[in-house]
Amino acid sequence: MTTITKSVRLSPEESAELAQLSEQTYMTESSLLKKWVLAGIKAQKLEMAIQQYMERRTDLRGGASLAGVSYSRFLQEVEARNIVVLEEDRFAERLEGLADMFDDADLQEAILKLNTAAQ
Amino acid sequence: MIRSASLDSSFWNIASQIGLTPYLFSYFKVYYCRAVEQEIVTTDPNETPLIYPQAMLFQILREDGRLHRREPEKPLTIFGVGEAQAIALAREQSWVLLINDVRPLRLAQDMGIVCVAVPDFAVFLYSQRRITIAAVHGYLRRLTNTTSPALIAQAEQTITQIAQKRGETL
Repeated sequence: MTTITKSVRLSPEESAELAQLSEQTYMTESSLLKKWVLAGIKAQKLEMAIQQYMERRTDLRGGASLAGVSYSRFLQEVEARNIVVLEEDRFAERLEGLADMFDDADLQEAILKLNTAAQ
Repeated sequence: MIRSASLDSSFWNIASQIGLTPYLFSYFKVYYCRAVEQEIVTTDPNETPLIYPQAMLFQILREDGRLHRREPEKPLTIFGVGEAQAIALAREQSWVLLINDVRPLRLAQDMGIVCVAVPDFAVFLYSQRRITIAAVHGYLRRLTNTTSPALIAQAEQTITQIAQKRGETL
């Protein structure tokens, strides 16, 4: 596999900290850096996708695709952040559709009362 | 009377999480497209062999013959593959669309498709006397982290109206 080298400038303190972690984890400094960069890219992609979903610029499917994760995983992330996936618009209309479809008189009456109260 | 319905992954995942899916089959013959199936059963490569409960339930019910596969003749390409296919199937067949994701739901409603979302179905089950008033409140509580408070409030008001007529209290 072809690889490309990227360089990072660190302060002496940061460099010392990296060396210490490398020693403690028995991983080379470059392996550690690569691991963190990959994790960071993943997290950043997810946050950007979540942001787009919150702004309704994408749907759950599009969000999953942008984040590079499965649909179920993206939904899990959305749920963990308490992000609304369903708004109130046209709720009564959908309920009315269900009530009519199955001849549900109780539901039809309840919706009628709610609609009257709302006007 | 059983109606035919096209299933979207958003409805399945959320309804399964709160435990509503078994009730679906009393009212709907549920059809799914391959893309929807893939979304429900696929996990991230680094999560394998993890299987989400909603995926497990889907596999069992599919093998049980409760879920039926059907592809639309002309898939829509407005959103991602799965959603577009579920919407296209509902539109082509004049079926109900089971969906719980705001953006494609709005699109489908604008196209004149009869849509059902998870909280709608919970309220309907109470109205049909399939679940108790305590159960419907419980289902709505479990939806609060992903459903707008205004929708939950409207659902609660509808339940109250029905309960008052029946002389029921929580």
